[in-house]
Amino acid sequence: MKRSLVPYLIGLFPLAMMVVFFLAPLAFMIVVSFYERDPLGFYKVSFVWDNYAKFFSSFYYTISMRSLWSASLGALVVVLLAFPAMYIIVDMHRRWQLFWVILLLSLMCLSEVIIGFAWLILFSESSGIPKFLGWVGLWENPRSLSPSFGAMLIGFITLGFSLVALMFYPQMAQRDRSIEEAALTLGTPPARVFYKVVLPNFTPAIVSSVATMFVYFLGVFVMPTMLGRPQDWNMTVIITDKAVGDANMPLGAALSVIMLLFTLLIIGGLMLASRKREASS
Amino acid sequence: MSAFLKRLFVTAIAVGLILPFLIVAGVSISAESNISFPPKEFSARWYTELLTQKDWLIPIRNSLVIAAFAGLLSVTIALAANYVLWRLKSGFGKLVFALGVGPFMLPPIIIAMGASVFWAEMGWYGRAEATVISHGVFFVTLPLVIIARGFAALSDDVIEASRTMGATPWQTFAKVIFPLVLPYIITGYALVAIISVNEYLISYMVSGFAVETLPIRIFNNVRYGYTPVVASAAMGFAILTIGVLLLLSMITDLLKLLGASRD
Amino acid sequence: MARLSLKNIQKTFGNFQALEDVNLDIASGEFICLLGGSGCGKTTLLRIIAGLEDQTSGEMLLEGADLTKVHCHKRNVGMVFQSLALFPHLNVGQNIAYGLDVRGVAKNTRLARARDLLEVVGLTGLFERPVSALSGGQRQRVAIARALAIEPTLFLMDEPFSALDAGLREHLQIEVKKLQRKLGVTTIFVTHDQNEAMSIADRIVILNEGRIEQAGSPTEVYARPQTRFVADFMGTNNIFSPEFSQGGPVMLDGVDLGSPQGDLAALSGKYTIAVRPEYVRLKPVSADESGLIGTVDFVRHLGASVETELSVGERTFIHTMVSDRAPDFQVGDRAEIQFDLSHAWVILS
Repeated sequence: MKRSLVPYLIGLFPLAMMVVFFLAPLAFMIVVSFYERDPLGFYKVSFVWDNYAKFFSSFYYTISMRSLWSASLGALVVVLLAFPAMYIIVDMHRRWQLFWVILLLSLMCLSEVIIGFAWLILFSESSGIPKFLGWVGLWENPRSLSPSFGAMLIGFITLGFSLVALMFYPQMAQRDRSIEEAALTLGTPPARVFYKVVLPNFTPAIVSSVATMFVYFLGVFVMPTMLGRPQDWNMTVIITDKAVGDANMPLGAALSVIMLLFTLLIIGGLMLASRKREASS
Repeated sequence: MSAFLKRLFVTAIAVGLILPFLIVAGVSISAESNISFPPKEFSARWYTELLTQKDWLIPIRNSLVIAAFAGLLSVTIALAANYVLWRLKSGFGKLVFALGVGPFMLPPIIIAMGASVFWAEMGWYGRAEATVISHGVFFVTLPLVIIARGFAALSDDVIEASRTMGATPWQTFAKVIFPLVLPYIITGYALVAIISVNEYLISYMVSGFAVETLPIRIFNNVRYGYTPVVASAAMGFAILTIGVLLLLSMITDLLKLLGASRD
Repeated sequence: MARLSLKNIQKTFGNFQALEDVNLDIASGEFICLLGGSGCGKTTLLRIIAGLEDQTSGEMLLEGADLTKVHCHKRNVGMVFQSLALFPHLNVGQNIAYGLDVRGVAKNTRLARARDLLEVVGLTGLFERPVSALSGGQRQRVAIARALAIEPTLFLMDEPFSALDAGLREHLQIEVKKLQRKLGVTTIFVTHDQNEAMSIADRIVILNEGRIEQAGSPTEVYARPQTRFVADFMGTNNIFSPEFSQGGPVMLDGVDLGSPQGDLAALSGKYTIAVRPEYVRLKPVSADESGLIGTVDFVRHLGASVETELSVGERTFIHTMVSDRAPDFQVGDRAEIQFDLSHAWVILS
């Protein structure tokens, strides 16, 4: 009897940690989203819909659309780059694979702040690409390339690339290569093997990584503030601004809850789709 | 795609990922006080400033301390959750494990906002301990998944062999299981520590105004007019991160750990 | 004219010589088995024939035309892979019709052909099934049908049955053999299992360390292995080197084994010969202890037969006899070993 109880007792520790410090904050955030702002402290206990009502204004509509656009564009581009890149990298020599893994892991770990800063320098007229183009004579009057939407998007891509690439890595490396060989022997021209059999087999993985990146880019803060113009700022910047800058935690919480619901909707939709796919097969 | 085009494509991506850091490296060893590239004169003055001035040293210390403890907390949770899943192989274990994967699926801002209101209510808003716990809990996904690979590699035979020789479950854990999953634990710890050192948003929203970490310091510096010290700080970061990963690649098979091995 | 001729095929991977100087002519409609242990080069040879790998040097002719420059997707080979390599994103019918699809065959025609083939391999009605829902044996059949759908010039199979259990494997071997006879397609089948090779091949090609050791019909290879490697591989267990003296008694370690028969009678000097276990006789030791005396080390009852292992000094000999006629020897007993030298032959060691 006692022996079978021990694992449960041990399990209580991680369970409690995750419930108290992961789930409870999310639950409490929902509670706070109904509170009122207190100019002197954090918030006043109350039950109002005002914070949510604010979301349905043209200002937040614009911000939402902008967030969705930058996140979806970034997600699409990053997966479009990372997928073929990993397809090539997994067939490289072991030494190069290790080089890539360390590069990708480094980028994955490296602070958004550092990556943003590095691009900031590279885009600046005093030391980066503009200066170089001016120097070789391709750009007569070089000016800083950031802040701009393009600069922000490049920031997104650098940030997300390592994550997507590392997600694709194991599946790509372990895939059954004889499927591609079978396609060849059956008469598929080598240039079309990728489209005929590799791509269709990875469609679920591609869709789920686009969704993951989309959700991730929705919550990015540093890249828009560092590399984007104010008119490129996404919902995350606004939430942080409201919650910390204006000390309006209830509004920040309400906006986060809306984003949370949206995220759960996407994750739920994905799970449903994959279950349907399994059920049909 | 021909072999040449393939190589060109991959090389272009590598250049795009690495080039920004080469420029930062150049700036960090330039003697000029304005950020400029290429450097005309070389000097280590920005590194000296980074490692001697108090307003840089304190954030560095804060970041390292938070990372050290967050890593410890994260790995402890991940190890316990994996042990339970491995022992029970069912309902309760899976529940614990699924909870651990959760944080990875949500945008960081939601987690940061949740942590912010939670710690405000608990009265720990602005304390380093709050950041440690939040980091430890939210980054648990990585060690959880990595240590799971370690447990997956454990064969039941080894454990049963230990039992038949008269070891108690605790002795089996201490003398057989723990040593076998240790490389995975170390890797998980290292990754959480590096990510914690690098993390901005949660640190900022939980205790940013009181406990300045290195990323916060850099971000503020960049936002409000910056000097090349930032470049040296960024390089310090990058070198630390790559150094730890290289060290890891020496003690463990990183390719296998990431699931790339085909055998 | 041979359908496929391989001339001096060599293949190296870095420093490793996978194939050295392989020469082989394959007749139209022939069923060839490439047989050998792991790393012997049999799969490499098959992949070179398919065009998935290029030979380092040597010529490959298909009905007299050079095949080397023809890219894999133009060779029109139907290949069944070890992992089967069915396309997971396509259903059974689409898998079989795939090769016709990339050849631009009209939809109705290719679907009709896929249905025909499905019937041929005995899977009528599974057309719409996703491949993930098939059993191991069904997947094999789909892979075979898919390879045959393109009416291949060469039908190649790379250890397709190695993952199946013994019963199903034998069943499929027979089916494949029948199907191949019916269609008359030239077939090359790679295996490491000599029983499999014996039961399906018209001709067995035994490879060892990248070289062809012997090629011949199953009976030839079984009854008369020419080299020590083939003899070991085919389970000929009694190999030894006695002295011959042109018709005089054959002597092994000073023991008279009797008079040589047939080809052996002309030999003089030391030669390595082989005798299959079924041509060994065991007798109780005679009073004067003459002949080759061995000690029984092990007795295996294999159902239909009994196998007895004996040692004489450092040497080991195996004797097999159908069960009801087997002499009753126990472990530790001594027995006189006699060889039927009319069934012995010389091998190259």
